[in-house]
Amino acid sequence: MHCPICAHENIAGVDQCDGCGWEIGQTDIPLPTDALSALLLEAQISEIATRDPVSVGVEASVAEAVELMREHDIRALPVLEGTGLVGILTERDLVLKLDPWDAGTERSVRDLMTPDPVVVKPEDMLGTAVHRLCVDNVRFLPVVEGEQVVGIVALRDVLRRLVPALVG
Amino acid sequence: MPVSDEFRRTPISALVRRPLNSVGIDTTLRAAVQLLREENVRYIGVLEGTRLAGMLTERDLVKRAYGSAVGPDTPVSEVMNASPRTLHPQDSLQTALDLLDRERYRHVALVDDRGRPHGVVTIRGIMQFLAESMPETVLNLPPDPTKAPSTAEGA
Repeated sequence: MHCPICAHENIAGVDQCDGCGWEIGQTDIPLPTDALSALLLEAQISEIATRDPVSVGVEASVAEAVELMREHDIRALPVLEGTGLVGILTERDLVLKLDPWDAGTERSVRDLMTPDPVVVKPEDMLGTAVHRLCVDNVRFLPVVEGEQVVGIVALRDVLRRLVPALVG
Repeated sequence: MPVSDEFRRTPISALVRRPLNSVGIDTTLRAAVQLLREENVRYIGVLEGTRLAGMLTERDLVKRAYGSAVGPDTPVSEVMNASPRTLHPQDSLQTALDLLDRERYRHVALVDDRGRPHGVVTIRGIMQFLAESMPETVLNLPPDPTKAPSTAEGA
């Protein structure tokens, strides 16, 4: 069993990691059995994340956010208050909450964003990203270190990394 | 069976979870947006008769509708993508994967020889298929291993 903290390979069933002392008795991280599962369990999210993503302030207008999406050809914007992540604004939020013909209104990003988005850490494994994307039914995962947004991962980024292993 | 073998053997139609929600080509933007919301989908087909004439996606709305001069009565045909890439229902899953990856699409409609739509293959559908094919590696992971309980539930 690989320790999720230090990656030390322990004998299956041990209660504590021999490498760092972490209590791993209750965690159940499987061992890789082929190239695909090795990729999911060993590759880190930092390898596929877009670093320093374009973001928007929580008080910005929706029109500004739409302009950012168009200019950078992106589908989601981490929403910041100061330097901290407070939400995410996606195309989905726009379509669900604002009629296109009303887009000239001065509603703020705060009104339309999804607050407290699901996040991942740079050192999380690729399998965690797939887990989050499927179980939480989201398409974008901000990558955070402490309070700072350091990247963003899209469903597409994960698929792109997996394609070589999937098609052999 | 290794998942990569499953990908090669699985017909593309196995990933179509539901039929393509569609509107007629003369439908207003208001009605099209309403359908996107009601069905909680990110794309709809636009039909001319029974033939797929275009697709309307969230992306099309952000690129061509928000902040432009469109009104609720604008025909959907003025905002849709009138030449979407499509696949045939007999195409392989690997072909779909290549296309979605290479062309950066998120979904591709399946269209038969007569131009009739037969559902959509999406990146999410493929990812879900992958997760279900290897649940022990993906779905059973603790969401955050560092927060896994150190004692059994209820102990």
